[in-house]
Amino acid sequence: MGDDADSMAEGLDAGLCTGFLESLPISGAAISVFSGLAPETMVCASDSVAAKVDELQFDLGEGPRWEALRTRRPVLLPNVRRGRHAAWPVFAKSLLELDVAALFVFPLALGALDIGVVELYSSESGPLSPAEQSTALQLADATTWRLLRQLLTLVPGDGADAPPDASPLSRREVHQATGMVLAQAGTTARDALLLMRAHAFAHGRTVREVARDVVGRSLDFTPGGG
Amino acid sequence: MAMISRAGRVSAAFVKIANTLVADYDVFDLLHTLVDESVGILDAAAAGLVLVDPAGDLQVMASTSEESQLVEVLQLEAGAGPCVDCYRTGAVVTIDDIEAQGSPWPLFQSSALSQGFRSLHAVPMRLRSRTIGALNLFGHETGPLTADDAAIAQAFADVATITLLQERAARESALINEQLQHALSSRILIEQAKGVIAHTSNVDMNAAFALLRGYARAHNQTIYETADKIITRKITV
Repeated sequence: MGDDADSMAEGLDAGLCTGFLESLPISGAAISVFSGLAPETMVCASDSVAAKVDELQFDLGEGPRWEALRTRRPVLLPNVRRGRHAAWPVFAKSLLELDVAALFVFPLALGALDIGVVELYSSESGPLSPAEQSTALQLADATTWRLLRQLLTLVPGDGADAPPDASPLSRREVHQATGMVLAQAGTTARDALLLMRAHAFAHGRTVREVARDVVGRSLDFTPGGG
Repeated sequence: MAMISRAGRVSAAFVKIANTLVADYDVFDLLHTLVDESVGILDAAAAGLVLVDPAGDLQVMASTSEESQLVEVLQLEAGAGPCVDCYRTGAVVTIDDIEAQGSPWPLFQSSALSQGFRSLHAVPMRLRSRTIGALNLFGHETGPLTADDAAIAQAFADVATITLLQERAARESALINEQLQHALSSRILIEQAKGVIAHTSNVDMNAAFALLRGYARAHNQTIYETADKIITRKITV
């Protein structure tokens, strides 16, 4: 599935990290997105440290990124090398080997839909000012919308060369279908979208086409049912 | 049936809206009241409020029909259409005759005509120099709005702006963005909840929204709060 996951991520905008670096006093940034087949894919990392911060947490299954995703709230650690981090002891220890003094994690979520996570680090400790936090939140929001649009219009396998989605359907229908599949499969909004993406991929269709069938009730994700 | 003067209806509508705005209010309930009232008073066939999301696409925040056809007309023209022009220029856009004047936007034109819409009046939602969205009024007949109707339409658009942006935000541009993005994100949650209801109650999206709104009102919750509980399956409507 690794190649498939890579091709799914191909159409995503790898330049998304740049905005954070240009607007905030940070050393690096990484963005991961839940893109469909693989549990998630890193969209961009501005340097190897930023990438490592994300990978470590993902591999260990602990760290502030998971807290940000669970709570859908930012996790701000202006002095991450200090203090005891009882919730993620192994990651805290691993961090000491990296040039990371401050860590700021922002969830990328829309409605009940978790799109991904952005992790910002600085090699110098210190908090983000209220204005910088506000900027970071706005950038995170803008990133979420861009990623959602890209995820929904990607044609699996065709990568960045995919034609623009000419369907006259609104994305509203994708959100409505997400709700229907969520109820049918007894799952979360995120998993419902992943189910539709997996179905779209397997049948060479776009998520919007699948969503239209779900809303039109010709496609049902009830387990064992029609 | 007693005839109520139009001035009376207009002032009644604004009193109703003003009353809602006093306490903790439900943005989405209020926006729906607003589009419903604007259609009734301005004799329009349909109305929709759109905001532009950070990706540059139009998002419908409230419309007189939750069915996809109207939403499509409002949203499909992202990038090119009179609703977008209204947002971009911050000026009123009036298309007296969509059939005769709509050719610059062929997708919009054919979609609007297929819904039986013959005219469009798009009013910007403005906060000082900034435009945050537009109120779109569709008519079954060709022809412009009267000057009086245009003034009322702008008043409705202004109230919609106030509804979306709280007083403090109106002074700080960063807060404006946060509140607008929160509203846009909330609307997605509502769409997802509509989907859950459509499946569990086996109804269409219009009825699903009516159930959602009815439950929220009956239980003294906002539509957003109710939608959140539906998605996390704390309640069933």
